[in-house]
Amino acid sequence: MRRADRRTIFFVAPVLALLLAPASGPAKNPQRFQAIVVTRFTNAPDVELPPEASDYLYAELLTEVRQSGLAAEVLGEGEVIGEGEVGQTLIITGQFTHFDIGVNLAAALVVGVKLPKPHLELDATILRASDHEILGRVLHIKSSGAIYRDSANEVVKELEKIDSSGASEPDSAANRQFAGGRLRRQYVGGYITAIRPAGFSILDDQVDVSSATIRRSPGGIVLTEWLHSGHGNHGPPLLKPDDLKWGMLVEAKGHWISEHSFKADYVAVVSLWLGEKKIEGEAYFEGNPPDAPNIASGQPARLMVGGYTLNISTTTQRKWNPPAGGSLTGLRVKYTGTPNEDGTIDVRTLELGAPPPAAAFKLPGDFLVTQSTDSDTGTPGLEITEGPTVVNRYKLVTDPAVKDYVSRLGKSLLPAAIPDPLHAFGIQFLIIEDPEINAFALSDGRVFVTTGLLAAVENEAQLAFILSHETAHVLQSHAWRETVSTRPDRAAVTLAEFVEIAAGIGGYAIGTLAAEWTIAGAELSIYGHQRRFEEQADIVGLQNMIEHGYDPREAASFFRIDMERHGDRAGTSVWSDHDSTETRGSWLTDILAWEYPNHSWSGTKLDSAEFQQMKRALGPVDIE
Amino acid sequence: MKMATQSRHRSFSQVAILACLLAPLALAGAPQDELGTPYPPNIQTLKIPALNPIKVPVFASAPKFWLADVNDRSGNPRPLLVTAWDVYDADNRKDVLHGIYLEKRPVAIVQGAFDQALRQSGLEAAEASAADLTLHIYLLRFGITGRSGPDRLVEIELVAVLENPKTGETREIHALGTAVADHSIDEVRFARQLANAFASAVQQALQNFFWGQQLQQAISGLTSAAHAPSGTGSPVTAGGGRR
Repeated sequence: MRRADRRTIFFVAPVLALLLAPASGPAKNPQRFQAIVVTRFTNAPDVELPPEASDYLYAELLTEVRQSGLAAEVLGEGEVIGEGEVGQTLIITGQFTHFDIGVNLAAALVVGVKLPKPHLELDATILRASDHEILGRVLHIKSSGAIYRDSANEVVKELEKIDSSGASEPDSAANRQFAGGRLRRQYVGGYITAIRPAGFSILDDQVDVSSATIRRSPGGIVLTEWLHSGHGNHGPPLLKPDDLKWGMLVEAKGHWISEHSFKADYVAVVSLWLGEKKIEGEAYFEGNPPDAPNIASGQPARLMVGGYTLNISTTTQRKWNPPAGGSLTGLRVKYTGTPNEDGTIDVRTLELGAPPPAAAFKLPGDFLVTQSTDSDTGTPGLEITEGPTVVNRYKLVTDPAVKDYVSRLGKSLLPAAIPDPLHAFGIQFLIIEDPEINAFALSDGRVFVTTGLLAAVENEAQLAFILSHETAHVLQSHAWRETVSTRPDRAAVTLAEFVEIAAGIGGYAIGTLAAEWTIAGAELSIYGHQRRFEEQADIVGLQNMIEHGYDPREAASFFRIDMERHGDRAGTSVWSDHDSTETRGSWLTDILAWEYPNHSWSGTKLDSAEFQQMKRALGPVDIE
Repeated sequence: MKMATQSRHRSFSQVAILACLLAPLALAGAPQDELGTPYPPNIQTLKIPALNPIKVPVFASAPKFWLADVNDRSGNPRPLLVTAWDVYDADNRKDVLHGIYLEKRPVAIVQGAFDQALRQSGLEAAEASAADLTLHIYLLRFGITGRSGPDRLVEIELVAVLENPKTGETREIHALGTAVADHSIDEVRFARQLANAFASAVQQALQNFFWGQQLQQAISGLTSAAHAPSGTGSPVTAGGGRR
């Protein structure tokens, strides 16, 4: 053989070996078990995973265990184990303990491109089906390659160590570590809804502050911790547990002891007291206020606008030039004042302004959102188009029992008079088939509700809150105010970013809808973004529920549902566009207690036969 | 001449090694699925291969089922479109879209699979009025729901509402089938792997339904009034296994 040939073989053989190597997978084993049951792994409490992770690992485990040949049968989650099989059956279970998206360093170094390199960690346990005795355990399986397949292979390797009698001794050291659990730092945040002996409550969550450092810090827990760790010479003022009061906005860092019990290490008091806030407000009239003549003539008056009741006295400085004989509906009012203990606001300055322009009730640019039909199957849909290009589409629910009910309910909650630009077509309510618990409104008056939300709400009162909240976004011109008034510098990037976002996110993949509309909302003015607008929509929605006879406590209950499903108890980051679900729920609870102290809500509307009929017509629905 | 040969060899081996080094990058940069994009030309149609016979448990009460309807609740506005991706021209400009489509609607695929399983197992009622239990199927997921690198996760998740037509009483049964389709740059091969993954996921979803404890409990609960129960409805393995 010539030297060149040998060199060729030296270089090429490993490459060919790599290329021709069979697909990864465990080698065939002698069959040892009657059956192996594969279950879906759960999440450790603070592990954020890609939505597909659990199902993906489940699929890979089924495949790899099947390929291993270790069992006559490989069963999926919840499948029946025959009576004669139980003694020879194993169950694979486990928990995801870490995930991060990472960066592929090789790619970054070689070609200068930042590509993701996901990193997954999990703990797996193999149980004997007959008595759930632990036969094997792999702690901290780490994978950075084909994360799910590699992890499944590691589990199969552990399976291979177990003999058919199931006599393997479990790793006692590993057991102890597993049983003890690993404490993970977590956050909880929101408005204090009750004071307790060793701390406080935020809705259902009890926070123990007996060994916590408590500081007054408008910057929240991050700033508190940073200053406390020695980066600053003068930390924010220290507080005692007794200083904590109902209505304070707080963030806490610590760990969960049980589902609703939290042990805090640090507590940051972001805002001292609900009633100490100086209020600057801006809202649009959703009707003609009865006291309008008194305001115009300099007399004392009470004004309900933007969810708050304003006390106008003779000392209130007014810039008030109403149109002669005309209604105030749709006009803007700006005010400054101080909140009272009864939930009203003593107004210092008051100004009547112009209504939003007609453009405030239109979609910007060439964007259109139109109803369509899939040419292949006739499936009804909703298309987002920019000029001639369809940038995305969604499936619409057309079942009259669902669509008509939601539309009827939504319209029954509207104010008697709505702004002129919306008169042309009014406000429409449409249902999108999507598992996300979500609703959103377009500036042109279309309100969208997902099937996930309809399935998640427990009663009509909760749905009435959601629909009132969304229509408040429209009637208060939040999109226009955000894009034009408050963030003019961002308006230029609006359309380009929307196209990028809408085109870049894969269709109906579970869980993308909310993200898309939320992100797009920031840029295209599809509503639902800035925190103060969310806050205004929440309180207007709450007042609207009360005016229409619904139990307003159900507004907070809706946030509880969302929280229970998603565990959204994140701290109230001051930089975030949306408050956490827990913050919003606790704020509404406190607002209600503040504005209606000792009020009984018994006898208010909770549910209806039509709501239950809609639920039945909806049938089983995926909720995420 | 000799030098040239060596040079070619060196060049080939270097290219091969470079290809191996860059392969993960190429895979990581595999095209993104773009279900929402408009009407991508159909480059491959997935014909789901015939399912293996699904062995159904022998229930003590031996109920007869009637499949009333299959409803698509997966939220896909284009039920036939499985995946699509951009194709770029030589100047790296977005050129056209390529799409992979199903030959049949998801509801038809699932209906066919259920019909076949019920018929083969002798559990199918001759007509609706002769059924002990009526089945209403709701597809919650049908398609690619995730990916790991370039590989796709195919999921079929369904809820079967089992109804006793005499009493109107119902029970819900969840079932899930999953499979992973390995990526391939050869579109024909990729389509074949996707079709196999769909078949595997449908098969698994049906197995999960028929062998699930939920079905066992539902049959027991729904038929206990209509039938004098000779047992719990508990399935026993027949013929030495499920498959």
